[in-house]
Amino acid sequence: MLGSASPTPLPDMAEVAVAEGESVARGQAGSPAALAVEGIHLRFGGLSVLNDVSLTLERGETVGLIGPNGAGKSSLLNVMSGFYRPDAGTVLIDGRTAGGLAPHRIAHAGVVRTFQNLGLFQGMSVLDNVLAGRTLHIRAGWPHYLLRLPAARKDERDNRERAMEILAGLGLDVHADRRVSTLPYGAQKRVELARALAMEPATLLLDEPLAGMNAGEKAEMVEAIRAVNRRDGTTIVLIEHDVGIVMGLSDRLVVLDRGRKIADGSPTDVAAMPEVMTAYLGTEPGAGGERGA
Amino acid sequence: MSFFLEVLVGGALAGVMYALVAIGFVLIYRASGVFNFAQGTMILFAALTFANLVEMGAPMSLAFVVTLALLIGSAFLTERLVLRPLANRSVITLFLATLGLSYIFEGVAQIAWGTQVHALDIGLSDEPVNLFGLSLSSFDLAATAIAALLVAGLALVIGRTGLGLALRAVAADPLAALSIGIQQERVTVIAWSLAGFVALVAGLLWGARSGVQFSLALIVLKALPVLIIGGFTSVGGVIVAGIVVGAGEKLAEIFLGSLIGSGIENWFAYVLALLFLMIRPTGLFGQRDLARI
Repeated sequence: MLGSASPTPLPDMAEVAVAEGESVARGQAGSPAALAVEGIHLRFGGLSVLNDVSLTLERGETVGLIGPNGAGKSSLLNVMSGFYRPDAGTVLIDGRTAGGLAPHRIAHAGVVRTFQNLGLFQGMSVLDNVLAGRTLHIRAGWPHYLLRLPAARKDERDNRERAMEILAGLGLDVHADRRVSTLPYGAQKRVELARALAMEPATLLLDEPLAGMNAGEKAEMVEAIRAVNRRDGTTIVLIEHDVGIVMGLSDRLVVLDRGRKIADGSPTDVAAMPEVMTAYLGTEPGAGGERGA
Repeated sequence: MSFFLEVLVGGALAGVMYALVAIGFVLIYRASGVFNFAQGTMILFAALTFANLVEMGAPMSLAFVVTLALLIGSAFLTERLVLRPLANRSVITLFLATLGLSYIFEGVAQIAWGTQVHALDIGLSDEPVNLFGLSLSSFDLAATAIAALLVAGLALVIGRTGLGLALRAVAADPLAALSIGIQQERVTVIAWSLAGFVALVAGLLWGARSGVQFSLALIVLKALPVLIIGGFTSVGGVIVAGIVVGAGEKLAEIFLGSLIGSGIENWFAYVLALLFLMIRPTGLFGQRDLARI
């Protein structure tokens, strides 16, 4: 209800120009990439969390972001969504620099995230949670709403229909009027996805969308994510620990370890790379003295 | 019997005035998650400014608009200088900040307008009116009508526009609200401006009834039990609670006064609030938080 525990600390949001990237990341077709980060450095005090990380997302691809605990996966997602401001580096959305943009502006630009520990509005109904995601799509001005003019009524009807459609697609329409906190955890995770989808994002950043789910819930969620990618062509980044699932779902895998990108390629190639094995298993032939993950 | 009804209805109408004060608290609590201790001095500041402008010869409509503009300006300043720097701090920090804010409102009012008591005539007479065989105060009836209009207007704004959803979303989880593109700062300013508007209306009615003086700020102490009984999050709840408190204390004063001594009116609301804290701590219509542990 009030000041709920924040999943991540929010740094000062004053807009600060981040070093302009000279090169605009371009996809294979020549159109700008959906989202690109270049040379991201992020430090918390003396701790280097991200060290020169660059990553380009082509439109419509699904990228799995993996790595041991503390590798910087969530931090990278927080940089991409504007929740963290990097110390150096550029964030580009559709080829335009988005460095220093506040999170709500990044959401307006079509890059929408979900949270590792659920970011739902707990006191509200499932439908209201999803409708909150439609606030960007309110077309009629508030005077129309106060006076119940036809424009407002149509707007409201359209948004409600769209929200119900999305809920139905995730098998949640029967719970539309329930308080979201009364749903099982797996269903709450789906509501969060539904709210993100209600914004009609071009790029979805999913921070452990399968965490805490049982096998049945996981299978449903995987299907839902795949469907979004296929149907709407949404670019997807997901952080996931279950390597089997993430390999099946992703077109490309990116591996982070101790704040550095150590691998980036097709799931089969990446899985075969010795550095990745090392990062996960902590055995580093010939360099036994290094600290583990 | 008719005397009992007269006391009951008269008390209920007076109670609407308590509710009017309490609504300002609810608006801010829902948006900023804090009990705004400055609400009382905002009422004082509004009433003093209005009374002085009218005494200086301004027509009432102009005085109203100017006072409202000052309150909206102070909402901007409060967000910028008090709430934004304290974002993500604990509730108690915010509460103490509003305590400081209340001294600023009081001090500014004193510097600008002095400490003199002003009579305020807003054109509402206070005469006995016969209604359905009951003798009631015309002032109380008019005040109730104004309060009803105000509440209906607020209900429309909160219930029927995207703003209401945004208010609830920001209060429930500020970070998640950011992630779906809701700009917290703007929602905060709007909520505090609405609370300023309510403070102005309450200040005019209370000022007209009991004179514009510094003790006006102490209405906070009458609103607090009403908030506890009604629930901090519910506009409807505090209206019901205001009526219950108003009617209850008048009835208790008249019918119990002879048994246990008079002066019941002064403590009745607090005893009722205490009972609510023990039996139903969320108030009549307040939301209960369900947490997964």
